[in-house]
Amino acid sequence: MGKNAFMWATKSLIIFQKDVQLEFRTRFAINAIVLFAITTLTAISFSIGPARLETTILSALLWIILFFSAMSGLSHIFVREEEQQTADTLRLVTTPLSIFLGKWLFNVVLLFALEIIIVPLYFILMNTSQSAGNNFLLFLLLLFWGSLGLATVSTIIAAIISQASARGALFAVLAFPISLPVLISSIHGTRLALEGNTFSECLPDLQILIAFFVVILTVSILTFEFIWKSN
Amino acid sequence: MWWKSLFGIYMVLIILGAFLYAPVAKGLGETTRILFFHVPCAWIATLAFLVSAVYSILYLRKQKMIHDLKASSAAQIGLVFTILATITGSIWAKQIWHSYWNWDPRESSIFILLLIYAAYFALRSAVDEQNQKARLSAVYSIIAFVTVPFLIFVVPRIVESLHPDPLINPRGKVDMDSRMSTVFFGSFVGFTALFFWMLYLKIQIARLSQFKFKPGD
Amino acid sequence: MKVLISMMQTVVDTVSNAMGSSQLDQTSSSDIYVVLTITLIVWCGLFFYLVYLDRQVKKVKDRVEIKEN
Repeated sequence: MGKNAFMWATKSLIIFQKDVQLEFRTRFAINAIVLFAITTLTAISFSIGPARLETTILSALLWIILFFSAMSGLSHIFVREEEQQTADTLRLVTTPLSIFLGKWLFNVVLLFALEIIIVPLYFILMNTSQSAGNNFLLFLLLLFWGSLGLATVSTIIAAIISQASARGALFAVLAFPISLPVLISSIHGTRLALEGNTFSECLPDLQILIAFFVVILTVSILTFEFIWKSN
Repeated sequence: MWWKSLFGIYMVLIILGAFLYAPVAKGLGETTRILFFHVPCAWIATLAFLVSAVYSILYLRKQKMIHDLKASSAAQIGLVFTILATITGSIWAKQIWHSYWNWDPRESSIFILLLIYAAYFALRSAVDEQNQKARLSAVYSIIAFVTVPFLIFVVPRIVESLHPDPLINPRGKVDMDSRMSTVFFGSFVGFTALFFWMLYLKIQIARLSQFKFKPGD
Repeated sequence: MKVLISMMQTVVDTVSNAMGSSQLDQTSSSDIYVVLTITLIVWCGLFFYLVYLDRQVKKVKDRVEIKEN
C-alpha cells in the first residue's frame, strides 16, 4: 500500500514536471495570468491615485484580481492538451488520478507564483498603511487556503470545459458559482485581517476555506476519471 | 387520472385559501399573500436541483442515458421556478423594503442558484456529443451540489451591515397563525406535487421524442 | 414554458399593482379579488395545459408501445 502511494505520487510529479518544462518553453499561461493581473492593478492604481481605500474595497479588489487572473490562465493546462492533441496520448500514458494531481499541482504553483508577484505590488500601489504584524500572518493564511481552493476549482472546471467549445467564456461561467464560497469567505476574512482582528475572529472564514478545499479536492478526484475518459 | 382532477381542485382551494381564508401578517399587509406562492417556488427550485444531482450521480454509476434525461428535465423545471422565485421575490422586496435588490442572504442564494442553473445549461449547449454532454454535465451538477452546503454557511456573511434581514427575523422563528400555516404547508405540498407531475411529463416527452414513427402512421 | 412564464409575469405585475395601491392595508378591498381571479385564471390555464400535455403523452405512448409489440 505504501508502495502504491509512492507510485502515484511519482507519476503525478512527472506530469507536473512535464507541464512545468513546457511552460518554461512557451510561457503561455504565466504570461496571460501575470499580464492580466498587472494590467488590472495598474488601471486601478491609476484611477485611485493617492487616495486610500477602505479595507472592504481593498480586500474585495484583491480577490477579484486573483479570481479573474485565475480565469485567464488556469484553464490552459487542460485546454492546451486538447488543442495540441496530446490529450489522447496522455490518456494512454498514466492513470487519471496522476494526471489530475500533476495538473492540479501545476495550477497551485502557478497561482502561488502569481501571488508572490502581485500581492506585494498590490499593497505597495494601493497605499495601504501597515498595521500590526499579527494580521499579516493571518492574511497569508487566508491567502494560502483561499488560493488552494481557487486553484482546485479552476483545475476541475478546466478539465470539464477542455472538452467543450467556447472555452474561454464557459470557463468563467462555470467556475464562478463554484468559487463563490472561496471568494466570499476570503474577501470577508481578508477584510477582518487587514483591520487588525485576532485569529479567532477570522477563524470561521478560515475553517470554511479549509473545509471547502478538502471537499472540492476530494470530489474532483472522485469525478475526474469520468471527465477524463473519452468515448 | 382522477387524482389529477383532484389535484387541480386542491390547488384551487389553496389559492382561495391564500386569498380569503388566511389572515395577513403584521406589518406586511396584503402582500403577505405572496409568500404562499413565492416561497414554494424557491423550495421547488432547490428540490429540482437536488433531484437533478441525484439523477446525475445515477447516470455516472449506471451509464444509462435515461438518467441524464431525467437530470436535465429536472434542471429545466428548476430553472423556470428559480426565475419565478427571483422575480416574485424582487417584486415583493420592492413592496416591503422599497428596493428591488438588496443582496440579503435569501436573495443572494436564489441568485446563486440561478447562476448554477445557467452554467449547467451553458455547459450542455457547448457540447455536441450526447454521451460527453451527459458525463460533463453530470459531473458539474455534482460539483455544484457539493458547493451548496458551503453557500448556506457563507452567504449570510455577505451583508453584515446595519440592515438585518427583515424577512427572516420576524418570520423565521415566529410561529405563523394556524390558518396561515395550514395554507402555507398546503401550498408547499401542492407545488411539490406540481413539480413531480411536470417532471413526469417532461421525462415522458423527452423519451418519446427519441422514437421515430414509420410514415403512414 | 414561455407561456407559463408570461402568465405568471402578468399575475405578479397585477399583484404588485394591487398591492401598491393598498399599501397601508385595505384601501380598496376589491383589488384583492381582482388578484384572486387572475391567480385562479392562471392556475386553471396552467392546469388544463398540463392535462392536455398528459393526454398527448398518453396517446403517443400507446402508439409507441403498440409498435414495440
